[in-house]
Amino acid sequence: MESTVSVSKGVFLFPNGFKKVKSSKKKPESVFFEKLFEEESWYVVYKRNWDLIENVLQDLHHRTYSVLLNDIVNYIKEFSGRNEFSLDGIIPSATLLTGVNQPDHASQFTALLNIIREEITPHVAIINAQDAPSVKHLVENAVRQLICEQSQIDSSDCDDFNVKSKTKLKRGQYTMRALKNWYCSKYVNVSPKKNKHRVPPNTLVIVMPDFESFNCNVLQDFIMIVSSYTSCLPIVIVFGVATSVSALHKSFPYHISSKLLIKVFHSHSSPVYMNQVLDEIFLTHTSPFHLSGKAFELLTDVFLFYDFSVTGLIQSIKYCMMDHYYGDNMKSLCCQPDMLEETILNLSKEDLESIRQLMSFRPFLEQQDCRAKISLFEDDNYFRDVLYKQMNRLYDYLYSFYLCVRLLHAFVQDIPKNLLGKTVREIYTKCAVQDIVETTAFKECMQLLNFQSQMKLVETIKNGLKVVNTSLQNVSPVKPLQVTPKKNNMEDVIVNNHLGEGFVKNVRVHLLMFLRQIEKANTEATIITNSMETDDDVENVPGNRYKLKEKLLKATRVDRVQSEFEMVRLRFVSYLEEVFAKGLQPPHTQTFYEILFFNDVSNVKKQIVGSPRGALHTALSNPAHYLQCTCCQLASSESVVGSLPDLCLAYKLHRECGKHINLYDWLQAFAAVLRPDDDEDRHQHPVVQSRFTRAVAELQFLGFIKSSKRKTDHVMRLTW
Amino acid sequence: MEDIQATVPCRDSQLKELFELLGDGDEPLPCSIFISGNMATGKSLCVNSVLQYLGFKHIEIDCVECYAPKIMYECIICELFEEDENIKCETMVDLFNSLKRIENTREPIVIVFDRAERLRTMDHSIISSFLRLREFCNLNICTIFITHLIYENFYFRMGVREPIRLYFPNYSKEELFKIIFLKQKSFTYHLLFNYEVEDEIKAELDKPELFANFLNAFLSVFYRPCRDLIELQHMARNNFVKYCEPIIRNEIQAQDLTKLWRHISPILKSSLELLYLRISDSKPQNPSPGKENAEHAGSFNFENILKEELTSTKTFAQSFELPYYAKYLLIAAYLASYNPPKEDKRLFMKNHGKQRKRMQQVKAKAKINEKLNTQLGPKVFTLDRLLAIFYAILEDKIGLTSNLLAQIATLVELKLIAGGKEIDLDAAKYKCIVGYDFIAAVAQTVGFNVRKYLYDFI
Repeated sequence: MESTVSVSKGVFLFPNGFKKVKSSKKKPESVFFEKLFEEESWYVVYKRNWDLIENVLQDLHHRTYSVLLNDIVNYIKEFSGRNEFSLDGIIPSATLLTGVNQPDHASQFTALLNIIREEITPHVAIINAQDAPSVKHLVENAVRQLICEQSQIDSSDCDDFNVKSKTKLKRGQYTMRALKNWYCSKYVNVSPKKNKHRVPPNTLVIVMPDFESFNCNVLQDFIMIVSSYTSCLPIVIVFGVATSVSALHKSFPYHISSKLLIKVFHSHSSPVYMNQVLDEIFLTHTSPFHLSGKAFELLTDVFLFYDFSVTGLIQSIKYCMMDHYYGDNMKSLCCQPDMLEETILNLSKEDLESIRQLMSFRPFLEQQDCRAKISLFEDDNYFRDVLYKQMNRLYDYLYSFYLCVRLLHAFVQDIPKNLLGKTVREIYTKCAVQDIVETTAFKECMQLLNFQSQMKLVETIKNGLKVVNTSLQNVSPVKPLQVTPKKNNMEDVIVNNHLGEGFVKNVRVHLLMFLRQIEKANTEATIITNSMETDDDVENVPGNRYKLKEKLLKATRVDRVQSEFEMVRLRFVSYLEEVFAKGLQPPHTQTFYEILFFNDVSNVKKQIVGSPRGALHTALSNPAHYLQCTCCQLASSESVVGSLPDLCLAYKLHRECGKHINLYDWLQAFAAVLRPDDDEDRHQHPVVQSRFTRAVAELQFLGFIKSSKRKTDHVMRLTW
Repeated sequence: MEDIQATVPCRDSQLKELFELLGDGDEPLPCSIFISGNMATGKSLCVNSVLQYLGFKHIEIDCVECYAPKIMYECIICELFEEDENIKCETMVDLFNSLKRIENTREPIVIVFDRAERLRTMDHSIISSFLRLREFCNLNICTIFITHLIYENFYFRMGVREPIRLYFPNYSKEELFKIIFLKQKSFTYHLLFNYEVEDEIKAELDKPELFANFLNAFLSVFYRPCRDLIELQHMARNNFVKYCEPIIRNEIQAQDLTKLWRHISPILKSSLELLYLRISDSKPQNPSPGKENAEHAGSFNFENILKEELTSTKTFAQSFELPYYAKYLLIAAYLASYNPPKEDKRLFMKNHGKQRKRMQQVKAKAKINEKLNTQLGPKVFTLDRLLAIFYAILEDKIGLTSNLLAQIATLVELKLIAGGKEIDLDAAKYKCIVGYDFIAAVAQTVGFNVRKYLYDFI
């Protein structure tokens, strides 16, 4: 105990190898959670679905970044290939414009690091601004990483060097000189001996992901230092710049920037990437989990208005998903369609009961006849059958819904004025919130479609066909309805036939037909415009039935002469309206939509868009909200009761004051609330005074007030 | 001597002087030499080649690298004793002690401090001690300081032994021509490396006359704004490629000088214009490295977009996207920085009442144009004021959420707003550090009229 003997009190550190415990501790914890939940079917389904989504996300991530990363890698390779360092004192450097979405950068740069490690060189250092407050730290950090990273990765390859360098260098000794010596002993001195496995000397890469937050003087010095070593060390620097290249130029004066050879790489802008993520992963019928219009709107708003962070968006979606599944076995139905039958069989009685209580079940119930109603409630097996049927219908609906959204997007995207929005997600939001066919925007769009030229229309239809074809190609193996064993009433079959795959095929046939007609009508229309009233030409052409029809139609209309194209167009547009009216019914009209769609926006909003001040204010002005106690029930938010916690009381009283608060008055008011009965010397009571002092101190700690030097006995309010 | 003069052209008198100072083996070295001259005037090159030629033991130290004096000392010892195992040399005294270990006191040793201006910011005693290093350790040792500052910029306390001063003047136009011309081979190599050229034309391109002609044209345009040799070489390299392009494409004969001149002169002018634009357009906001910044614009191989981005703040502002509220926050920050806090009420509230114009105010406003707030530097503002203005200019009502507060931190991180130096949790202070042009461009993207809310324009 001698080591802890001290004149004054102190905190003594006994190193006991805690670190090792820490790393192993984490695992049991996650296992614990899993153990707790793994029995529950909802957790199993959630886990499976999230893994699914994560895989797809990673895939997409790789696809989007790979081009850019390969470019950078090739650029760096170009320099590593050059053995003679011909550029005297000039450091090759890559500037990666990453966009302002700070949270996403990390993943981007780890991907970059990995690929550099794999393809070019094991010597990579990544230095964040917070690790480099001065040149000393910066250099030490860089050198240490460059030397050490090696030993971690291919320690088997060249042990002798690593052991030497490891034992030799202490913290203060990581200087450029040390790096140079290390590099020379590693590569330059070895190569004359013709060690065959060490072919070209490796490049050293230094990555600085957040250029803007570096102190520019530090960076300037660092670049000068590095540039003086370029003759013997092949160093490449990669800057991650969030704003634009001029940030780089602004922070370097001429004599520094002339030491750099800058090549700029643009990364994807994050809104584009977000659209991609949403379009390809979440807004498809294959996604197991769907966001209702409002929830979706909230998330995209957070993205567009606040942070531009795709990572954040994905995490929010994950949160929504967790919230959706949590503790609710019913939600285990929200799974891949091919697992549906099994899951329904596994549902317990209580689960079925809670499904019966869903809001969207009621309209469905009302349509049924009396006997069916009773058996729906009494007979679980019958209910299971119905549930299965309805869920399948829901999947079919989803399939055609997303198809229609995309189709609508294909038709609307290049219509002037952007009435419905440019991207799929915007259209989705509109469609999911309300019945879009009823909106004026939709009607206007259809009208505008009615004015499109032949060429344009042919093009858009082709686009639409492409959409339909792709979705037909990657249709998931939905079990055709006919296979399902049941005795359904005829109505259902008819409705079912309208949605799902059959519906899509139908759309495709129609689109093809219209396309052919419009293409053909193209020539006809020009002839007609040439000879307005003479219908002879048309008659001479061996026309099909449509033309005949149109001719007759035309004959009936005397006042307004329409070309054939216009007629077809008109019919086409009305057909489109019909299709959309059928396919784009909003999700909340569907039976059991709650199972697949996440809808509880208000609940999640608090977690996703946290508002610390708001929470603090509620806690202080209405403590019952959090305490759930009966004693602090307030009539209005302004009223004051003596039973409130002291802190809340002080807070409420301080809100009534101006910028400066007189402590004495405050105390008076405080005492008056606490002890309304004895009036004279209540504020002198030591208990009151100490309670008051403590409340004030706490308020100061929370940052609402601070003591002011200007006026004695006054404190200043810091919030307004 | 002649060998050196061949490798170091146009520095004859300086070389001679150095030789006279250091040259004779039996004489003791001078105590210290101070060499000054602009950047890229061949100072280090001269010194190094002379020392190499004389075969003296010499140590070069880049003072930038020595963020701690310890590194410098250790570096000196390392090089002197040629050992790099565990040297410890923390202080100047340690250095002297180790130097005294040298037995042969007559052997000439030279220590060269490159970029010696950095020594000024270190401890005062360091440079003065190095100035009289010989006295301290009784060796035939000389210290050479190389810097781009003149001697008067070094402030010494009393008792400094004055070094011998040597000045390297800028190269003249003819000298520049001569030096760049020496590198003709590398220029043509650079050209041939980038292009596929037929043999016939290759021979043409190799001719020194062609390069000489180009160089004449080039220097006639560039000599005036830029004297830096390195810079000029870089520009010449880029422009020589363009000069030769029509020859490679067989459009202009290599002998047709007037045509070539006509071809290149607009190109040269445009790259020159880039310099001027850079100065006039975006410089007023950060006036520190005026001309130098302008020059470096030319030193990169950038694409056209980049050029535009550099030349105007407006495109700079549009070149990257900010989230919607971040834009408003930035605008609010600008307004807070450039409006006097007294006027906030009038600017941002609907019913602010009528303001009585006092004669004094009218006069004050009419008189001083240069006192416009927008042209004075930005003022600091508190977080509360920023948020108040933010809510005043934003139409839709939104809650004060953590995401919003995080945006402020992001803006600080992006160097669009400068945070206060010391972190004060009670009253965080900020400053908007982007200019009017930038804000106007940002405001345009969200459809907001900044002028309406600026006190200067009311």
